[in-house]
This record gives sequence, structure tokens and C-alpha cells, in this order.
Amino acid sequence: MSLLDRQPHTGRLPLPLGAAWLLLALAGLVVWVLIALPANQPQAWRALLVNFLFFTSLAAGLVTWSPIVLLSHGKWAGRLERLTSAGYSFALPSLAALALLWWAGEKWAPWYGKKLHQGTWLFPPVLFARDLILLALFWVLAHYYLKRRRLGEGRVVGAWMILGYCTVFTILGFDLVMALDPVWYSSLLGGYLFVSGLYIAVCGWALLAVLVKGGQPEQYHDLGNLMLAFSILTTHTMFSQLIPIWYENLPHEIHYLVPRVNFLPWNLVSWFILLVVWLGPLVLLLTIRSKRSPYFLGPIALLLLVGLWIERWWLVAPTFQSRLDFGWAEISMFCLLFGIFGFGVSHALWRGLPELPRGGDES
Amino acid sequence: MNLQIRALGGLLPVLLQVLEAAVPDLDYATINEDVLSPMSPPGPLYYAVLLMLAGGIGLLALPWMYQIHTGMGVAGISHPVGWGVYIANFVFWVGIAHSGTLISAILFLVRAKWRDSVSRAAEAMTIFAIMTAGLFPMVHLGRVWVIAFILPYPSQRQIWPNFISPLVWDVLAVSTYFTVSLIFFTIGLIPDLAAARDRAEEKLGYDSVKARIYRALSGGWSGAGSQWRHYSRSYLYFAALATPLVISVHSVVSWDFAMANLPGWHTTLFAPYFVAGAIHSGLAMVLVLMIPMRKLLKLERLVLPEHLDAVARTTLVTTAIMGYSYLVEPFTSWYSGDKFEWQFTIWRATGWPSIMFWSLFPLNVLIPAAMAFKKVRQSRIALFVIGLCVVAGMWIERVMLITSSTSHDFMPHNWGPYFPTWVEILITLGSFGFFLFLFFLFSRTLPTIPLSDLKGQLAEEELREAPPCPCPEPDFVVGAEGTAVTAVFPDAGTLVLAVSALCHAGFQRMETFTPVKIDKIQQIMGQERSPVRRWALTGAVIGCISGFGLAIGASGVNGLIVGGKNPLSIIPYCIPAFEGTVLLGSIANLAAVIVHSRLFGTTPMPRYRRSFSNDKFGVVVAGDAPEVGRARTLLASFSPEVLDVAP
Repeated sequence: MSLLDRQPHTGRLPLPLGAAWLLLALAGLVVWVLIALPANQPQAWRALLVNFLFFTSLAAGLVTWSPIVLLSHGKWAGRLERLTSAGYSFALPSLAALALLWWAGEKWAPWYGKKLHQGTWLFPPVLFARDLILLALFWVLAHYYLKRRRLGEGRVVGAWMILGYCTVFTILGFDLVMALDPVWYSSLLGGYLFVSGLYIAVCGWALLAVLVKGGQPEQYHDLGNLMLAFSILTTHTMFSQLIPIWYENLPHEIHYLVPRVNFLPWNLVSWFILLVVWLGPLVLLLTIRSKRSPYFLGPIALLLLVGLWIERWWLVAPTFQSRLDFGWAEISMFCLLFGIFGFGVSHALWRGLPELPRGGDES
Repeated sequence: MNLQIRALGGLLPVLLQVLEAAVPDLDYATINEDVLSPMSPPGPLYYAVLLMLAGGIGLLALPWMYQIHTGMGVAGISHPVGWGVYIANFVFWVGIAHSGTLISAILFLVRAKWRDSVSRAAEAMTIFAIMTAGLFPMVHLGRVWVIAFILPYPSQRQIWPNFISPLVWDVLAVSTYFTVSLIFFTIGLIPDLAAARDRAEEKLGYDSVKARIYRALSGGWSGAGSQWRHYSRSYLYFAALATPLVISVHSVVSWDFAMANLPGWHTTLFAPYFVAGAIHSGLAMVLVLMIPMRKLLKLERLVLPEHLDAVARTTLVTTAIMGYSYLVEPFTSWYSGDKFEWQFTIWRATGWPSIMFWSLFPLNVLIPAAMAFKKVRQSRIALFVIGLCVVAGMWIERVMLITSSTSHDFMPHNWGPYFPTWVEILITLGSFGFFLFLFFLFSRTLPTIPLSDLKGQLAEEELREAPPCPCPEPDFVVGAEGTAVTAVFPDAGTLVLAVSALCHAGFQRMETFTPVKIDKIQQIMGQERSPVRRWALTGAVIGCISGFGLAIGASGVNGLIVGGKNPLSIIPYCIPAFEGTVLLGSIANLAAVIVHSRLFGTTPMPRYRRSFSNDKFGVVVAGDAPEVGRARTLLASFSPEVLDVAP
């Protein structure tokens, strides 16, 4: 029996599995505290930022796919839609991670002790409080949506939730990615963050569907098509940012691009992201078989998720370091948040995901 | 207050709803008649309106001739505003063209069935809007006879185009879009033209002019299973190729501006903002055209209120994106700390463009947001008026974006106002006449609603489960020679069962004739997927290589450093490569469907009957006399309307 067929609140997470996830998280924490933090404090905290951006995008995007499917009258997802609610388990950890980033802001963030032309907007307490409140509001909306959705409703709050997702991740993109370099700006960066967040989430959704063996070939096919569509959309959004910046070559804009595109070693990472994350699905998901077979779709989704983690790292790290310092900080923090995320999702799956029945049109 | 909150709560749930509207409650023959009857000779009123619209074209042509004769001085474009209403009109009309591909291709891929009732009109609108848009670079150029200089062709005069220039990308993108849209439109028309051909042959005679024209245009389409098999795959690939194209075209148009170092133009948001705006205006134009058209052509039974409702709901999504863009743009301007950007934003809100600036949010966001209310969506008048508001709002937006930046750049001594002259105003009004003239002409000469798609919805409801064929892949083609039995059924479900039974009984040579595509038949017969996919892929790969090759080759010949860029710059060359991919992929796909579906004749296949394009489903089994006799007995058990054995 697939985990998808389990009734809500009827099971328990097997102890060895739960323990394995917690051990992974604990190991990550220990290594981060004992090795990464003493070695390079700013890099260790920025590793938390990178993983926060990745796992929060994954979790919030997963939860947001449910109202998107509901409001677009998508019937293809069927019971697979239940999987999206597993993302909600990361709500509190994401808020805790953001609160920690605030608490340690002075150690890693570039806004302290500087007079910036954005004034109060980039005043750290205002910035972090704004982000924390908005993210909390999003999770409250998600909670309320799931509550309504279990009753076969949720269109009204679902629409608000989609708007909320776009708004919150726009602001998070502006604050926690764009503002890392307060001189640099791009009006599309917020849009890029929420579009790529949905891309991360649909890859995560496909991987979960394959792991729980709950999908039909047609459903895998549709998930594969969605991954392909969002890879194209994400590529378009990134290209639309890069080309005007590259073209104009203005000092205050181009300095974001130059270390990433023009010089070793980061340009190698850029090539990897281009070939795997942005253009990869065009080749990997070209055939029908690669989309319909879980043995192809699962590994492709996993590869794309790895690539998208690297893309989040690529968004943040080159702003602060010209060298490719990938070390214990990134690995340990990834293990910590992955352990927490995996524990939450596994717990939700084994416990039994909520039923998401289809109701009448409320509008 | 409580009521207001509830109303506000009701505003959002529909933002992303794309309804699957109900299938019109009609039979095959009625759909056929309803769609094809407007193609009968029109009355004097139609000709009067057509004449009036032709006068509209004169409104465009005469001032243009005056401008050519007198010189560009008669237009308001002068220092510092070199791009005025002409370029704004170009951007506006390219934008209008976008919803056709959205409705046809993107909604086809996401299986939104409501598209079927409006897709043909939207596709036609796309073609006519690009034709209208294409006039404006010529009008703007002044010396229209040197228009060929902008085409990227190898020139003996060594004027190779610069593939780093957004203007060259523009030529490539818009011409590719026009070509692909035209192919997509034409391919979609073929089964319906066959229905028009059969109707004209029946009503007006085999040798009538109309029958001859439709016979030539339908390419001998017979609705045979062996044709549908390739046609439906090919149509899917057209949709898949056209979808990224629609996004790329207005992105490229937006880069005409975003690549310039001017306040208000140089912003990274422009590409998605322009694309969303284009689709927004295109959907509004669909409402403006479809609401009177369904009334005038008596299409109320096919274009249901639910279909208009679905267009309105889709418009709400673009409304949300427009609202997002209107808020993010000034925010980034402030955030940047760039004093030129910020002073420009303030000037646009307070200077001479302020009337345009402040009208945008109400016209393009607040008024269309009213469509969130069911009552508004149910009122055709309200939808029509909202559509007009959005069309007007989007035109104003284009004028404001294009004219204000050059009017107020970095240097105060370079500032200056812009106002279009009577020549520009008349040419603009004339472009609407040109567009409406073409659309009006289309409404009485071609099927305005995709017959086969609408009938396909009925067929889907009739289909029943049938086991796949256990025998090796049967031969799908039946020639004129030999004995054959033909069975005619009134519905798709019985045909599928009959084909399955024939297959199980070991019959190897058979052909089906249907007015709609029925994928189930291919599934039952275990037909391999159509080879058109290999054609399309090969064309796309060659197109990609050619696009890069053309750009790199041109840079090698010129070796010019323009704007400080390396002549060999791969980042901008991705654009010609992309356009080449879509263009050659589509052309190869077209060639594949013509070859494999044998669309190069004028006469339908042997054993074809006219009713097969209307409301009947047939199967023909060929073989020797005993085999045909056995097939006849088997088919008789399905109670066909007609059961013929022909030598």
C-alpha cells in the first residue's frame, strides 16, 4: 500500500526512520557549531541563509501548488495533490531559521553600521521583522487554506494564498538576496525568486510522488511537463534579468554579473546551472518515457533539486567571496535543514496526509 | 462594511480560475451548420460595413502617402522624441496578437477545453494584428522602399545586420511569430475547410467557385485515421513550439527599450511585464470582438456565456500581473537610489505624461478587477465595456512608456514634449480600420469556430472502453483497388467498438473516417507514434545551429565593435538561435504533416463520403471477397446506418 492511501492521522513514523532524520540534523548541527562556526562565522551564517532560501522555497512552493491546481481546475493531480500538504511541516523551522538569521544578523549581514540610501527600508530590525511577519502570515494563510481544503473548500483563501506567496517571496528576494549588495538592484529579482521557488517545489513534488510510488504514468507525465514548463519560465526570468544588465554594462549593475559569469571559478558553477537547471530539462525531459517512468523522472527530479540548491548558493555566495569556498559550513547546514525537512515530511506521510476533497465552486 | 469585506474576499478566488466551460448541448450536424452557415453569401449591410472599414484603410493609406511625399516632418516625432505613436502602435498591435497563441497553444497544452469556442477567432486576430503591427516599422521608417535593408540577408553591399542589436532580434522575432502563427492557423483550419468543401459541393455543386476554393485549401483532407494520426501529433508540436515563442516575442520587443540606457526603459522587469501586458490587451480584444461577433453571426449556441466568463477569468490573472508590475516598477526606482530614475518616476506622475500615468492603474487593473464578480462576468455589456477600457488602457500605456523616456532623459537641456500630429492620429485610427476590415472579411469567408475541436468534445463523451488490438499493427491505408466494405455509424463510441472487434477478428487492412480526431483508435490498433516528432526535432536542431551560425557568421564578416561589445557575443546570439529553432522546427513539422497526411492533393481519399466531415463515422475494410464478407457480417452486428460492399 502506498503511503498516499493511508488515512489521515492513522499511522506513526517508524522509529528508525525518524531517528535517522534527527541524527542527520544533529550531526549537521554539531559539525556546524564545532567546525564551521569557529572557522568562518559569516560564511557559516550565510550557509544558513542559502539553506533557508532553498528549503523555504521548497516547502512554501509545495503548499502553494495545491491552490494552483485547485483554482486552475486541474484534475490530473488526483491523490498526488495530498503530497503538497507535507510542505507545511517546515513552517515552524523556516520561521525559526529566519529568526536565527535576524539574531545573528550582525555577524553576516552587510547592513549593520552603514548608512544606506534606502534608509529605514534596509534598517536590519525593520527588514527582519518585515520578513518574519510576512512569512508567518503566509504560513497562517497556508494553515487556514489546508483547514478549508479538508472540507472541500478553500478557493477564496487559496487565491489569497497564491497572491501571498508571490508577495512574500518577492519581498524575501528583494531583502535577502538583492539587498545583500545594497547598491545592486533588479526589479525582476523578486519575480525570479517566486517563479524558481515553484520550480524547486514541482521537482520536490515529483520526487515525493516517485518515492511514495503513488502516481500513475499519466500523472508522472504531467509532473514532468510541469517541471519542463517551469524550467523554461525560470530560464526566461533569469535571461530577462541578465541580458539588459550585460547589454548596458553599467558599473552598479554589472558587478553582480561579472564574478558569476566572467571569471573562474564561479563561471564554472554558472555553466553547471545553465546546463543542468535551466536547459537540462529540455533534453532530459524530451521523451515521453523519461516523464512517464518513475525510474527516470525520480532521478531527474533529484538532479534538478541538487542543481537548484547550487543555484540558491550561487545567488548568495559570490556577492561575498570570490573563491569557491564550499566546505563544512554549507554541508553541515544542509544536513541540519534537510534532516529537519525530511523528518517533518516523513512524519506527515507516515501519520497520514489530510484528504483534500474537491468541493463546489465558492466563487 | 461586512458586505464590503465579503465582496473583497470574493474578488480573489477567481484570479487563477480557468473554467472548463460546458460543451454546447448540440449534435454534430447542428454544430456543422451553425459554424458554416455564416459563410453563405452575406447581405447588403455586411458589404456596407466592409466598405466603411475599407474607408478606414484609406484613413491609413492617404496620410501615409502624404507623409512619404512630404517627408517625416509632418509627423510629431522629432528631437528629442524619435520614437512616437508609430512605434507605440507597433508594440500595441504585436501585443494584441499575443492572446491568439495563448488561447490556441498554451490553453491547448493545459487541456482547457473552453478554448475551443474562441480559439479560431483569436488565431485570426493574431494574424491580422501582426499584419497591422508590421505596417508601423514601415510607416516609421519614412523611406519605405528601403525596408529590405532591415532583413538579415547576405548582402553584396556588405551591410550585414548586427545581431547584437535588439532591432535585428525584433525583425527575427516578429517575422518568426507571424510565420509560425500563420502555419498554426492554417493547419488548424484544414479539417474545417474540408467540412466547408463538402458543404459547398452539396449545396452549390461540385464545380462551384466556393467548392473549388475550399477543395484547394483543404488539401484533400479526408479525416482518415491515417491522417489524424500525424495531424494530431503535429498540432501538439506546433502548440509546444508556439508557446515559448509567444513569451519570447514580446520579451524581444521589450528589449528594444530595456537595452537602452534611459530612465524608465532600462529595467529588468520589462520582458515579463510586456508579455503580461500583451496577453492582457489581447484577451481584452478577444472580448471586444467575440461579443458582437457571436451575436451578428448567430453563434450564441456555440460561444456560450461560460466561454466569455472563462476569458474574463483568464484576464484576471493578467490583471494581477499588471498590478504587480505597476507597484514593483516605482518601488525599484526609489530603491535604486538613482536620482535620474527617481526624478523620472516623479516627473512621469506629475509632468505632461501624468494623465496617461494615472489612467493606467484604473484602466488596466481596477476596472478589469471588477470581473472578479460573477454578476459582471455574466453581463456581456459589462465585459465589452471592460474589454474596451483595457484595450484603451494598454494603448495609452504603450504610448506613455515609449514617448516619455526620450522626452525626459538625463540632461534638462535635452528635454522636450511630444504630441502626435494629425497625420499620426489618422494613421493610428486607420490601423484599427485595417485590422477590423481583415477580421470582418474573415468572419464570412472562413469557419470562425474550430468545428472539429468542438465536435471532438462530443466524441469524447461517446467513447467507450475497448481492448487494444492483439494482432500486429494493421495497415491503415485502403486504396481504391479491391473489394471493400464500408460501415457508417452515427457516433464515435460504436466506431471504436467496431474497430476493436475487427482488429480482434484479425482484419489487417482497414481505414477509419471521422470528423474529429479519435486518439483511442490509434491506441486500440497499437499504432506507433507518428514520425512527425523526428521531423520537428531535426528541424529545431538545424534551426538552432543555423541561428547561431548566421549570427556568428555575420559577426565574422563585419568584425565591428558596436557599443563596446565583442562582435562574437554568445549571450545575444541565443535570440537568433531560439527564433531559428522555433521557425525551422515549425516548418519541418509542417512539411511532416503534409507528407505523412498526404495533404498535397485536392481530392479526398478513395471510399470517402461527404458525411464523414459532418456527423458520420466510418470504417472501411478491404480484402478478398470472403474476407470482406466476414467483415460485413461482423460490422452488421454493430447496427451501422449504412453497410456497403463496393467492388
